[in-house]
Amino acid sequence: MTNDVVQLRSVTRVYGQGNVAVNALQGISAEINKGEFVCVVGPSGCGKSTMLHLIGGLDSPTSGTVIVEDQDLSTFTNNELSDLRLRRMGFVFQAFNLIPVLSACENVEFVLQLQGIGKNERDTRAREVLDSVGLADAADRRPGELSGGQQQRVAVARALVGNPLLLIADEPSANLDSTTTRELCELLQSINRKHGTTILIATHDSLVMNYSTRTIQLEDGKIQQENPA
Amino acid sequence: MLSVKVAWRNLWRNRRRTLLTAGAVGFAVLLVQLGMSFQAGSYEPMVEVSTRFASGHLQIQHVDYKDDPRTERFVSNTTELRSHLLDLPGINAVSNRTESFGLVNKDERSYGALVVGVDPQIDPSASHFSDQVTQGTYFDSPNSAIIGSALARNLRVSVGDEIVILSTDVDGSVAFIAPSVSGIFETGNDALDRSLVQVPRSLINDALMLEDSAHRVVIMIDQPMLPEQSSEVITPLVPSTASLLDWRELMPEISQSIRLDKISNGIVYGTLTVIVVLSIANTFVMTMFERTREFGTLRAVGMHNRSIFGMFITETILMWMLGVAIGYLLSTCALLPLINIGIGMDSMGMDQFAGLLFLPDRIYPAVDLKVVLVAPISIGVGMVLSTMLASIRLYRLSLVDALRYRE
Amino acid sequence: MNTFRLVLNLSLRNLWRQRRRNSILVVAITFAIGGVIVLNSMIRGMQVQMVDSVVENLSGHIKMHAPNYRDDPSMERGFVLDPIRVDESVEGLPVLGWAARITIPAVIMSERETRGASLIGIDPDRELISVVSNFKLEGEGLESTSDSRVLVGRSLLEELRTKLGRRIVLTTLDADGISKEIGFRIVGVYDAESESMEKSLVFTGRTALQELLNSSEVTEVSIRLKTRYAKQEDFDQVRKSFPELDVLDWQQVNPIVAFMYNTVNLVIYIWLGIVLGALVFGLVNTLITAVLERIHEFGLFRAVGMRSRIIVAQVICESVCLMILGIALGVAGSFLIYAWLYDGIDLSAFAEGVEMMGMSSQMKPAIVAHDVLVVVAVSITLAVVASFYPARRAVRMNPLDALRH
Ligand SMILES: Nc1ncnc2c1ncn2[C@@H]1O[C@H](COP(=O)(O)OP(=O)(O)OP(=O)(O)O)[C@@H](O)[C@H]1O
Ligand SMILES: [Mg+2]
Repeated sequence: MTNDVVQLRSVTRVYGQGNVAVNALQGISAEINKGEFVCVVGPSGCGKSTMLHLIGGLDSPTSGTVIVEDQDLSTFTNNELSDLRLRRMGFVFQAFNLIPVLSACENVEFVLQLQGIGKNERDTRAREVLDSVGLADAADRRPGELSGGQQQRVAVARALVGNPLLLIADEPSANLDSTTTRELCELLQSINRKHGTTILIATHDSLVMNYSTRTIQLEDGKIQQENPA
Repeated sequence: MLSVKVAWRNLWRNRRRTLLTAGAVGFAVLLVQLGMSFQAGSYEPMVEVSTRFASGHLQIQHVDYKDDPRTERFVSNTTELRSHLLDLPGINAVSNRTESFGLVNKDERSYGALVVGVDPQIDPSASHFSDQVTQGTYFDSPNSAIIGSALARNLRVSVGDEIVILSTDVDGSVAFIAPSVSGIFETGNDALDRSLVQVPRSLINDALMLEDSAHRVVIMIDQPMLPEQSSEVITPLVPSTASLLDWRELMPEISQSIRLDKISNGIVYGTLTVIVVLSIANTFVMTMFERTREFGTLRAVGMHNRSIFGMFITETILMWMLGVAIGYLLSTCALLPLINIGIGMDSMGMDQFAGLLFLPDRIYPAVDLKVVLVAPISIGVGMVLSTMLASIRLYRLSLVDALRYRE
Repeated sequence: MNTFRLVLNLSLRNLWRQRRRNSILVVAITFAIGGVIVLNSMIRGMQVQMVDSVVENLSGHIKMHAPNYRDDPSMERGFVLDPIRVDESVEGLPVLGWAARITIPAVIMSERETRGASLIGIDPDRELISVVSNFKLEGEGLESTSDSRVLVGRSLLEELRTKLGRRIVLTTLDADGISKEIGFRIVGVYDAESESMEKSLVFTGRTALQELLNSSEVTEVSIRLKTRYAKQEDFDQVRKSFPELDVLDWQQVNPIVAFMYNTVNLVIYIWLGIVLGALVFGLVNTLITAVLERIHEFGLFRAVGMRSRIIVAQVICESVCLMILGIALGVAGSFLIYAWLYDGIDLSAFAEGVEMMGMSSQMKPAIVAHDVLVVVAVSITLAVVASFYPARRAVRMNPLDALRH
């Protein structure tokens, strides 16, 4: 048993084949420890999203191993990966990706419902989390009736509600202004501190990087350097 | 539960599309149901009318009589046979008939005709002839005859006249009877009106030396559309030299035209269903494209493929139920008034052929389980297959691509 | 012209962009159009067959009887044949030929059996116009109109339990309505396609029969044209020449077949309506979706100054292109099926039922150009109508809303 939540061992990811092949990741090895707040940074196209997808089990590496909580993801079936994401991870996407037909509260409850949690507990927990992201008032509105920032916070709430071990966010601030970005980061930081949730964020935004405990810098699919904050 | 809720809302999110799809289902259900109920409603009366003018539902006859009817190919002791038959369950009426081709003479004129000997007290329970007598009465004495209207005209015969019928008896020698015409019938079927004479069976049996024999033991049953059931019960009573035939064998043209009608209508319904299902499949494929990202998200937050598919299928089923409900509603509205009044043959311009083709006066649509279920089930199966077809792409797509998907 | 090219270009690209969904719709259209044409061709084939077999089976296109003959078919209801008048009456018509006959009911007795049948006196040389000339014969045919031997159908021969060359006795009424028994020798046995014909028709020479019945009359004249259908004028011309006779067309001679024939015309349009009705749902659904997902794009077009009419034209053009592609495939497919079924579908399992409807047991499809044109015209109209509502939606939105969409 190590203290690492995530370990990457010489992970490569090649998109396409032959002369159109793109080496999105070229042999990355890294560890992310429990309770860290890590930012993955680098120019556009350097492989940040790819790395996050691999860690989240949304994608599998061309070679190398991705280990989450001491388990090699390549040994997981599709459904096991789903369960892993459901119970141990939370995702926040750049484009929010909320379920349009469900209200904010229902979007958050959704994860709990998948976990098989009873109605009453679900409702209380969902509202608590929404409250903590400052959306108590907007709980019953649908995504279409929310602003970009509000939607993003719902997405965060959805990612958090299952008390994940690891929260992965891919450019969560891309659609937000600096004030909202700061609010979001403070929220993430407080979660990181209060619950010890490991946080992994891909970003361009220096504002976000300020909150991290460590940054991993990627360039052309390789780790350039790691800077402890 | 969860997926039902999401599914239901997804349907209402795209109200127009849902309604159009459900409308297509409803349209097909309505048309197929209307068509099938009229078909179902017309076959039985058609069989009923034609069997009552001709064959009856089942017949016991000499094994060779059907292929080559000859006077000496008879079934004997028919009175006893009849009473045994009447004891069986599901049997309504039994009438013994003797048949012989004869030359009907009046004065100098003569025409050929089929002479049928019936028991005047009994035969009306198995045939419609007694109702078709338009002049005079159905038999008034043991030495009377009823005769087709065209034949009567051609022979210049009117009620009360005596006619002489020449025929050959079981030994091949000439036999004759001289009944007086008690009635003239008009069935509307030219062949019957032109060449049929009925006389009491006792009269012709004496002349032909047939005793208590008959050429056809005509049996009417409760379930004419399912003659096999009665056949099974009757078979043990059939004499060894005789065979039991049902109306489908006796009137192949009727059963064949029913089958032909079923097949050709089946092709029509099939084509209609395929077109509707293809339209729906097309809509589903569009929907699935739009929902690629939703699919990715659901997978990313940890929903199993199976549950997501369950959700899609639930949507499909809800849409199907909506469509079937629309179809049922419309066809109920269309059929309810018709079920009691029916559609008259005259309104279709068919009344002039009613007699010729053995058609009933009115057709009442009949709704049975098959009518109710065939269209909804075949469309439902088509829709589920379409859902699978439309979602295959999602399952093939990598999750990362699904999440990145832009419409 | 330029605008048209632009519109067409945009439409085709958009169709190609969504080729997967559009291809399913095209399959649906193909299926519908192909289905309609194939089914129509079956129905038309059936119609043609009905007419052909009716016309061949002794009716001809035009038939003449003495009044009352139809109710009382006997020698008493005959008329004197005047060949010159008949020839004059059909002058200028596309006549294949005409034949005068005597058709009367008779009772036939062999040594063993008695049956009823129609006795037909014919002039064999004139029967090239009817099915009689196509009979497969065992023995000989009738030599001439004065041949006093008979031609009997195979089924009747078996029922009578007699043989070729034997004598049979026919009882019928003569010109004075008096029963007469006449002996005939069986000169030939014929096989016809229809069993009921074999059982019910017995042929002999017409002049011979006239002599036997003390008559100089005939009971019918049947005229056959070279065309499939007789025109009303043709019919009227003959009718005018013979005001004293019942002059009937094939529809009057065979009311059931005529009724079915006429019903079929209606069935074809009902069927077309049903199929296209089913297609509307898919078409409208696809088009609306195609419009809605491009609202943004349309907004952009309008923001850069494109006229809304062009956008409408574009949507309609897409719909029509889809329809044309579907029609082309559907028509091609139906012609392939037509070629495949050209030799006919075997319905002999339903022989009696099919015969009752006046069809032959080989069902051959027949494609009628007019039907195909109607199908094409109606479905293209449908494409225009079905795309109009979605197109209107596309331009009703104000460009700013559309851009934000
Ligand atoms: N599905 C794909 N097919 C082909 N190439 C891909 C695919 N996804 C990513 N790539 C390529 O892989 C490389 C890494 O992409 P990735 O999305 O990880 O970059 P990123 O660092 O997240 O960039 P950004 O900051 O713009 O989001 C890029 O060159 C990209 O073009
Ligand atoms: Mg990225």
